[in-house]
Amino acid sequence: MFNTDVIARLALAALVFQSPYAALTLPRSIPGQMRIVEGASSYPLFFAMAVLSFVIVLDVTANILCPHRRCRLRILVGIRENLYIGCAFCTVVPLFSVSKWSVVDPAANYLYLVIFSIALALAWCDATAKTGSHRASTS
Amino acid sequence: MLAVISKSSYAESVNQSVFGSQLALLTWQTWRYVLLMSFLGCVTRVFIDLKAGRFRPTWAERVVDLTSIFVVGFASGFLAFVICEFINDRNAAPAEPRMLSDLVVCAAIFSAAINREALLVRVSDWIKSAPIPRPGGK
Repeated sequence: MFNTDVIARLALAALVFQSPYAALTLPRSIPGQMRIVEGASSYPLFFAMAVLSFVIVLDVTANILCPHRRCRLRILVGIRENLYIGCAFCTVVPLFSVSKWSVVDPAANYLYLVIFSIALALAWCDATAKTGSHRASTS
Repeated sequence: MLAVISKSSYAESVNQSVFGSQLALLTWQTWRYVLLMSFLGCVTRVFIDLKAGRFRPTWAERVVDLTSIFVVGFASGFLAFVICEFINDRNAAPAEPRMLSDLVVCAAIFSAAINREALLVRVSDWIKSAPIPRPGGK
């Protein structure tokens, strides 16, 4: 049941949730700096990241981990790669914002680029799974 | 105000500039995230075309399709960023909040990089609507 696919999706959800969490609790982190400088206009971004991570966990729980067919959420299977594209988008925005007026810490830059790469890789797996050329776990 | 001051001093310290006005204060580290956002838009476009089965069958044609997606995507993302920063420069004094937030700017870059057909249609309409010079006429 807990294959690498599930672990990768849950790890991405945890990494994406790290950003709004850091924005609220760590003012010197990249999201924290963005929240301080941008103000209220950055709140939709962090809210979207929290929602995305929650929806990824919901997707994994309902469509992969739950053994019963009645708990399947087909709509989440349909928009799955869009969720990962959204995660990749939200990951780049704080870096872009902070890079305009400060030096981005190389370690933080590396972390966010890793999250971006994982999100794109998972989106690629789901997009190719839906074309039929490669069968990934969509059930 | 503090952000503007630190932004200026940072740009002066690394001594890099690209355009005039506020765009001159942007450095390579900002431009690389613009490229990354455009890349994300291009990859999203590839996913959309892949799901819709829009890629042509042979490998040579696929290479042409992919190249057109990435060239037009990067160019339109770059243009969207420059236009957004231009709007921000023109509509706000340095101490005031900018007209477009960074989230909106990123969304503009991303959607411009995705929307290949719309951009091409607009450019072709603009070319078609241009007045044609007639020989000997006004």
